[in-house]
Amino acid sequence: MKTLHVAADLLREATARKWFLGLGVAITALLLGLVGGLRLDVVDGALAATRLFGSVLQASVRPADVALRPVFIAASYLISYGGMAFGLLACSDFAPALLSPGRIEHLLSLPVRRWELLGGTFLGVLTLGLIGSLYGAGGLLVILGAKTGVWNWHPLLAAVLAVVGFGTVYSGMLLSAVLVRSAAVSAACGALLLFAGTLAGYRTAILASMREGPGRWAFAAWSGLMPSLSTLADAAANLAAARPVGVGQLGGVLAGCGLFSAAALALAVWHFEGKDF
Amino acid sequence: MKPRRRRFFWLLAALVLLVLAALVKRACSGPEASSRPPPEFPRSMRPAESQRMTEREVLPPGPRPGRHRDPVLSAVSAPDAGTALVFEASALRHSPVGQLLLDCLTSTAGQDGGESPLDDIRRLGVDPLQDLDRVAVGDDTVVVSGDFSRVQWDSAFGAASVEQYGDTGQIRSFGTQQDGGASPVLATWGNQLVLIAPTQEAARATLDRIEGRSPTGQLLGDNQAYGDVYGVLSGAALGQMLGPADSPLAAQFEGAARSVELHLDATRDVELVATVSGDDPAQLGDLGRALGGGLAAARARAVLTGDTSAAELLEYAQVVPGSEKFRLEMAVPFEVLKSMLAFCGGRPQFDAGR
Repeated sequence: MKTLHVAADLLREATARKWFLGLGVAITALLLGLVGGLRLDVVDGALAATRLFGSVLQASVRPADVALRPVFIAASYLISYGGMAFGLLACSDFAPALLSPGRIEHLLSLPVRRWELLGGTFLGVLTLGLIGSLYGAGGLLVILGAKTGVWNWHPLLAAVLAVVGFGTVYSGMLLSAVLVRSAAVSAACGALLLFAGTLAGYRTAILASMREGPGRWAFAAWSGLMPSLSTLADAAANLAAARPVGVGQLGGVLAGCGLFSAAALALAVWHFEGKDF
Repeated sequence: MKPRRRRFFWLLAALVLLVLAALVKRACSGPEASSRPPPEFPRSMRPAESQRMTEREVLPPGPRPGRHRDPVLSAVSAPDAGTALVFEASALRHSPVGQLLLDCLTSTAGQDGGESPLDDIRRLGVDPLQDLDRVAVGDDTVVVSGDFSRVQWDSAFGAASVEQYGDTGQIRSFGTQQDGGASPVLATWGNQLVLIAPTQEAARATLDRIEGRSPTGQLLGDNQAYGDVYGVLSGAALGQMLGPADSPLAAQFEGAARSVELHLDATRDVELVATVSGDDPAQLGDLGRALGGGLAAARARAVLTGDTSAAELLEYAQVVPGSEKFRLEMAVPFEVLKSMLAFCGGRPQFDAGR
């Protein structure tokens, strides 16, 4: 319960920041732009023409849900990678601010455990990500659904998957912030984790192209530990496009990301518990 | 729990979770699911087809306007022809779909305990699986190319008369039919071409075009000879194929489409590209939208009723509009055809490799 209070505090703090206000305005402007500028001609469930601000984007006649797939795929990748890139910049100083001198002493004087502080911060950031991605994906599907009559709810699931990916990145950022109280280091750690997680998703293909040797062995060992963020982003895109997704593989990737996040959080708590303030 | 022990618990939990994450990743990585490659629609001639076309040219090169150098295209390209359709029999026979159909044919014959229909043809001296190259259909002519060197035409068909014509042509007539009408005539050109024409005059005209003595029409040009099935149909002919004359789609086709150019590729899946031309852009646009809407509605119905095969079949369908024509593209996945032919009972021996 106290974890939720900490998360709620973080959300209150986020609403006062211009980063998130800017994100909200940008998503809203993008959606309003689509409402006003996008014209879709639908005949018997087939998309006959697409015009954006008067320019013809696509003129072929094909089933509306199939024709809209590239839009949902692009939106899913934008939410996954764009959301992670934005999140690691905008959320990088939440944990350092939490640990700042004066504030942390005050928080620790309250009846709240140290792990609840970290858990609440993580949960708050995750909620922020969820709100942003669901707002973007939900707005897009409502606009396209209203214009075409095709209601594809899969982008919402894709948005949730994207948040799981961001949660993995943020757990690493939180760990780095506990180790070194610096927003820049936290953001750099997040960027490194995002890069590593993207490479780890293409592990098999990369290993196949590497020669035997210590380099290959090191990459195999290292990438085996990293969460497969690109696989998760690809699965989210496939889900958004209502294309078949391997349930076993997706479950494995989700479990891997969840366990990695939990491990990073546990390490952060371990270090945090031993710190004197 | 003492603070020191509690701290140790978090470290232990972190290590266990990290190991678990690696194990889960290892267990679920396996072979990555390969996504279906997108269909390769036959929209233009590919290098292998260009080489195939060149190898089939029999007339000497040079500036001979209005003449095909490929004998099969010459045969079906009468100056006033409205329909010419060519089936690449050899390519189709070696395609996954062709093999599937063949397996189906042989297994059905095997179940009946009788002979395969192919055996009847083999008795004539032609092995359809080895000797046939192409089958072409014109307005009133059917042309088959391949190796017919072992066929004893006279003993096999018992012609009433045989006429030598041109350089290597022979025309066999079979008298009159029971209703008094003339029987179709059978003509051969060397050992590589057999054609069935309605009259001796039509057969002579065809042989004249093949040997370059008279000009051919330009209904189906050399540069249009790509795909495993290709050709041009008149809008009326296609309308008749699509349904009874009073059906709305057939009527719309007959009214709007002047001609339809078809290209079908069966190299992997079955991909069809049909370019519909017409004189009235408004009517043509309506027809394109109606076709696109019909395909989308059929796909939506298939999705709603859980007919995944049909939904997949219509997945790649689209209509691409242009000026005075539009292009219809459709793909039928190999797996769909395989499941459609599952009734054969026999186990298809061929796998497309997926």
